[in-house]
Amino acid sequence: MAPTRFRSPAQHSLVPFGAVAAVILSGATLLGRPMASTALPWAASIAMLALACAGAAMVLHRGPTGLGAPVRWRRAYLASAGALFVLSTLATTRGIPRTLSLTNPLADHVGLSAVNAVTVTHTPTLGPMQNLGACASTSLVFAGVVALSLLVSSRRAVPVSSGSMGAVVGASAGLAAAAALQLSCATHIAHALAAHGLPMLFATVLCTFLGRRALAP
Amino acid sequence: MDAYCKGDRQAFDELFARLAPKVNVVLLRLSRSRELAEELTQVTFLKVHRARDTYVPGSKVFSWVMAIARNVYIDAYRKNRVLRRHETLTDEGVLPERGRDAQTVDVNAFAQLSDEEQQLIRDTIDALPATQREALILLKVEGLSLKQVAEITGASVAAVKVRAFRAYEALRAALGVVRRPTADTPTAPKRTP
Repeated sequence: MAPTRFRSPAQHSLVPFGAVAAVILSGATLLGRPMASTALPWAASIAMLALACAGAAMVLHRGPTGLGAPVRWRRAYLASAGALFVLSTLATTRGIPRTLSLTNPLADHVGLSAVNAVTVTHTPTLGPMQNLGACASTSLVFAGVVALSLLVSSRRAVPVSSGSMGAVVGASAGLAAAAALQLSCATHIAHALAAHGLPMLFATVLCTFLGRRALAP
Repeated sequence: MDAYCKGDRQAFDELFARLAPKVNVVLLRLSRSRELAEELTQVTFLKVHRARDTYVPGSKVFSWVMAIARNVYIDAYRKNRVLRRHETLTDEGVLPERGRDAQTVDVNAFAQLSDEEQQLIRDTIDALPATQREALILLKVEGLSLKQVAEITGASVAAVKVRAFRAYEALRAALGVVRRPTADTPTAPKRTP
C-alpha cells in the first residue's frame, strides 16, 4: 500500500488564504470605486479581514487531538463575527462620500447608495437601497469563493461537530467579502446590513449544512 | 496508525483488531441492533481509511476513530435506520463482557438483578435523550474519561458531567433507589447535654 500523502500546513492553507487575498484585491480593483479617505472604514475593513483570517485558521488547524477547535471556540467565533460586522457597519455609516465618480460599468452595478447629495457622472442620485441585488450578489460571489476553498481544503478533516465548523467557514467567508466591499461600497447602514450582512448570514447557514457533508470524514 | 499511514497494511489489520471490538460495542449499545452495529463498524473503518490523510500523526487514535464512529451512528439515526426493537445482547441476557476497570459497570452486579430490573434499566437507558445515553455509555460502560468523552462528542467537560448526572438520576428514579437508614447503618452517637 502506498504511503499516505499528508498535506503540509503550508500547502493546506495556500488555497484558502489565496482566495481571501484574491477577494480583497478584487474589491480594491474591479469595482472601480474610489477608496475611503478616512481612517475608520480602513480600520473596520482590516478588523474584519483579520477576523476572517482567524476563522480560516480555525477551520484549517486540526489541533493536537486531530479533532479540530473546541466547539465553544467555534460558537465564540460566530458571535464575535456577527458582533464585529454590526459594529463596523454602525461605525462606518459616518463619512459617507459626497461625490462619487464611476470609472467602469461593473462599478455601475455595485451598490451605489449614499444618502444625500451624491453626484455621479452618469447616474442620477440613488437611494440607499438602490442596486441592492447587484451588491448582494457580488458579496455572495466573494463569500462563495472563500467558502468553497475552505471546504475543499478541509474536506473530511473535522470529525467532531462538522456542522458548527461549516458555520465558521460561512462566517469567515462572509466577513472576507464584507471586508472587500467595506472600502469602496457606500456605507449607508441599511444597504450595508442588507447587501453585505444578509449574504454573510446566508453563507453561514448554507455552509452549516454543507459542512456536515464536506467536512465530516 | 502511524505505521498504517506509512503504508504498512498489516498495521491496519492490527488497528482493526484492537479498535473494532470497542467501536462495535459502543455502536451496539447506541443502536440496540447487532446487525446495524456491525454494519456501522465497517462503515466507520472505511471512513478511517478514506480520511487517513487528515489524521494528525501522534494524536490519540481511539478518540479520532470514536468521533468518526459517532458521526456514522448519527448519520444512520438521521436516516431512520436505527431499529427500535430491543435485542438481547448475549444469550444469558446480560451486557457482554469487556475489559473493565473501576470506572465501568460491574457486569456481575448487573447479572444479579432480577430480569424485571435488568429490563427496566435497558428500557430507561433506551428512553434517555441521545446525549445523556451517549454520555452514560461512553463514561460508565466503556470507561472513557470525561476529557475523552468531551473531545469525542464536541461538548465541554461540564456539559458531559451534567448529561451523565441526569442519566444517573433517571436510572435512580426508574429503579426507585432510595437510601434509607437501617438498624445496621452506623449513626452518629447522641450527645447528652
